[in-house]
Order: sequence, then structure tokens, then C-alpha cells
Amino acid sequence: MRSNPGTRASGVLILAGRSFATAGVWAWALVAPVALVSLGVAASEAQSRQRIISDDAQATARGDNVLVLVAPSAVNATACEALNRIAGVVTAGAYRRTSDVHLAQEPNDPVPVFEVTAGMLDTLTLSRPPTLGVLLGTGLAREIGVQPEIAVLKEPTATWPVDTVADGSARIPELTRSIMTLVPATGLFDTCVVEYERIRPRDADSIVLALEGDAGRNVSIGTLSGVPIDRVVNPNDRLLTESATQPLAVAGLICLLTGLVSFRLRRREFTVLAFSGFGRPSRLLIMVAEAVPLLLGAVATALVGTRLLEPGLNSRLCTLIALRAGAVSATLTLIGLCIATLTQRTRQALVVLRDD
Amino acid sequence: MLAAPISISSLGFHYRGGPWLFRDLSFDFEPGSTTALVGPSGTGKSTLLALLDGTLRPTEGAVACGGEKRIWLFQSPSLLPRRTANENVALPMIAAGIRWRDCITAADEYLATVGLADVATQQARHLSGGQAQRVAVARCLAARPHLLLADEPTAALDRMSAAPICDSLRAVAESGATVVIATHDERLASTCDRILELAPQAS
Repeated sequence: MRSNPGTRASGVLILAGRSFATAGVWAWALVAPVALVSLGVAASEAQSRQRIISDDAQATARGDNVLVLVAPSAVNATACEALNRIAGVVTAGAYRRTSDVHLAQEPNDPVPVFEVTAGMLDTLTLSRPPTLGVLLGTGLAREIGVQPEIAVLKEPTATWPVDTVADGSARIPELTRSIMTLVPATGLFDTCVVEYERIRPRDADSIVLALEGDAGRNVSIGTLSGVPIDRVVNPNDRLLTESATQPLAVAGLICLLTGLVSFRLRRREFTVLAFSGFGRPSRLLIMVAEAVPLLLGAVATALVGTRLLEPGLNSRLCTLIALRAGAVSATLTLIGLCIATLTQRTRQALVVLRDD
Repeated sequence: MLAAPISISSLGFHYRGGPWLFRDLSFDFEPGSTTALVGPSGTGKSTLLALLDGTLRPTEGAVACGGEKRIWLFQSPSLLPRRTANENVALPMIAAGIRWRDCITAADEYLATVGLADVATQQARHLSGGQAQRVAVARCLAARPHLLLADEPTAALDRMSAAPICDSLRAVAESGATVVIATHDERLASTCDRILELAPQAS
């Protein structure tokens, strides 16, 4: 009979496959914590989504239907085009919002005037969000034919009144605190204005994901018609800060301990394997081979659980959450098992079987 | 193929803070033979097995073991209860990297050697105590050890069930292994080639 490491691995895998059906402890160890995590995550999601809906209700009561998204330094025309393709979005545009009056158009400023997206032009024809003030530099006001204090911004298609035309002497502290500025923008905008038919959680996520996908970073829903929404929507930030990090940490700890307990419960089995010639690498391989299908089961459980508890959750976020919960739980369970396996000494194992 | 004999010379051992279990013990365990370790409880029979295995270190003296491959047989059969008898027997061969199908075929043959061909595909949990212990012996055969250390292998069995175990251990020895059996079972000891009696140490 020939022997080699490859056939040993396949034998170990067959062995793991056969024991998988009887490894109920493992199933409990992995799936239950992940299900708990998914519950926590879903609860957290539901909570933050409830805030949006609540804020939206307030905005609707005021007759607003404009969502202002703050995307520091990272929204471009492509992102705006993507936003315009989202169901429920009437139109979307971008502008630069800043409290720094130095970014207002100045008479001798070489930066071109009003390079805005098509979506922005559409948006500018809407009623202006109450948070949006329009500040023009005197040079720009002169160029487009508006008068200080009474001007209306006419070009190219906008009809918003201009709040202030700022010359050099107008750089007063009040302006820097209170006025948002429309400035020439040649590529990147820091704020998006999105007009929507009716906000739903799925739509909000789609908007955010469109921004992420195209603009890349630091995207957040900042204000809804001037009302701050306390919700970070960058997936990394949100998952780390809002999406049940504490439940995940607690569940991870539970998984770690469960891994140790699982090994304890199956210690006799692994001791028999050890005394039958299976080294630590082979025993670890058996555990990993058993854990993989359960990991998939755990992720599926988390996915289904999150879906059931939060039907409106964006599928990409849902998958991210499930994968994260599944990966953390399974990894920590395996770490627990590895610790238990690697620290088991031969003499202790001998005692296990002798005292059996 | 017989391994080199296992020798103990001037061997002495005591647990930390405890009395000497034995001192100045010298003996050669011949390959292909069975040796029974007998004596009252507490005289260090199981401890001597652990010293031969290398699990314990001698307090004084030395153990010279020619073969590296050692296997244990305990009072309890130590089978995986939800695996079949032939899968249990196949474990050492799987660990050695032999193809699964070959392992199972060989395991069936080893089970036939110990008279259990008819239970090959039964789960171990459904076997009687005597059958399970013989499956464990078949697993020892499959491991092709240089040294088999049996610690009270018949203690949990009645006389009828113990008899086939004696034959099976003989079969392991005939395969070339050195078989050392710690036992209180006089019948089992009488079937061994040599008997090493450990006496209580005077305190």
C-alpha cells in the first residue's frame, strides 16, 4: 500500500466529511452565535434606518423632498450620473459647500465659472434647500449680470436668489459662519443635492452606494433639508461604528470560548485520533474541513436572518454584514479550537483515554 | 521485520514528592514476544508503560527503545463511537497517508484476523465491550507498531470476552511488535511469553 501526504490529506478530508454529519456541537457553536450577531446587526440597522425615516417624515412635513448628501472632497460628475440612474431619484447634482469664504468667486480668480453637472443644473431649477445660501464674488456677479443684494442667479438655467455678493470687504466673520458658497468647481464636489420621489431605506442605501462606487471615499449622508442625520454610511465606518460592533465583539468572544468548549466536548475523539497517529496538522485540518461548510451555513443564516428582520436592507450591505459576522465568528471559533488542540499535551491525552 | 529489543536498565521512578515505585529495574522486552506486567495495584505497572512510551521520564536509569512506532491499548476500547468498525481500524493507515479505499480493504482483513469480519460496517457504539476491544486490537494490528502498550485490556471484560483478546494480542506480537501488557488478569498473563512481576517497594 502506497502512502503520501496527498492521500493523507484526502483521507483526512473524507474523515472530516464523515464526522461532519455527527458534529452537532460544531453546528451549534458556529451557527447560533452568528445568528445572534445577525440579530444584533439587523437591530442596529433597523434603528439607524428608523432615524432616517423619522427625519424624512419631518422633512416631508415641511414639504421638502431634497436630500443633501455631504461627500467631503469626493463626488464627481460620474457619481452624479450614477445617482440619476437610481430608482426614486428625480434628479441629482453636486456643488461645493464650504464655510470658507475664500472659496467664493473672486474678481481675479482664474478658476472658470460654473462648471457643474447636468444634474446640478436640473437641481438648481428646484426650490432651493433652506440650508443652501448662494454667495457670489463681485466679479462673477458682474459677469453674469446680477446686482449686489438683489441679484437673482440667472445663468445658465438657475433661478435662485443670490443671498450675498461678496467683495473683498465682505469677508466678515458672519459670512464665514453662515453662508454656503457656490463656487466654480472643476471636478470634485463636496456636496450632492438629490431630489427624490419618496425616500425609502433601499433608495437611501442605493444613493450612498452610488456615491461610494464612483467617488470612492468619505461619503456620508449629512443633512436632510438642513436636519443632520446622525448616520455614517461609508460601509467601513458604519460597520465599525454603528453596525453592532459591540454585539459582534461579544459574539466573537462567545465563539472563542465555544471553540474551546467544543474541543473539550470532543476531546476524547481528538485524543483517539492523536493516539491513532494523526499529528496536530492533520487534526487541525479535520477541524478546518468540518468548519468550512458550517461557516457557509453560518453566513447563510446571518444573511437570511438579516433579510427577514430588515427586508429593506440593501443586498450588498446585507452580504457584507453576513460575511463579516460569519468570518469573525468562524475565525474566532477556529482560533479557540486551535488553542485547545495545540495546547493539549500527550500526557494529558493519555490520562483522558486511561481514565475513560 | 523485527525491531531492536527494548531495554530498561537500572530503572527507578517516583512521582514528585512520592515514594519510589520501583528501583534498579532491568529487563529486555523482546520483539515478537508478549510480556505481562503483573503485581498489586500501585506497584507502577501503568507507570512503567508510560516510561516505555516516553511519556514519563525515568527518575534514574534509562529506557532504550529501538522502534519509534508505539501504540496504546486501554481498558476502554477508545473507539470513535459513530464511525464503523472498519473506519476505526483504518485510522492509523489514514494517518499514514494510505488511500482511503485501500485502508478500508485492509481494515476488513484485520477485523477478520480478530474474528470480527461480520461487524466491519457496524458503528462502534453498537458493538459489545468485547467486540469493541477486539476492534481496538485490530486497530493496533493496522498501525503495525514496534511497541504495543496494553493497559489492563481485559479488565472490563468477562472471561468469555477476554479470551479472544488474548489471541488477538498474540497476533499483534506475531506481526513483529513488542507487546507489553499491564494486567491483573492471570489468564491473560499466563498466555504471555514472559511475566515481569512488580512488587511493592519497602517504605
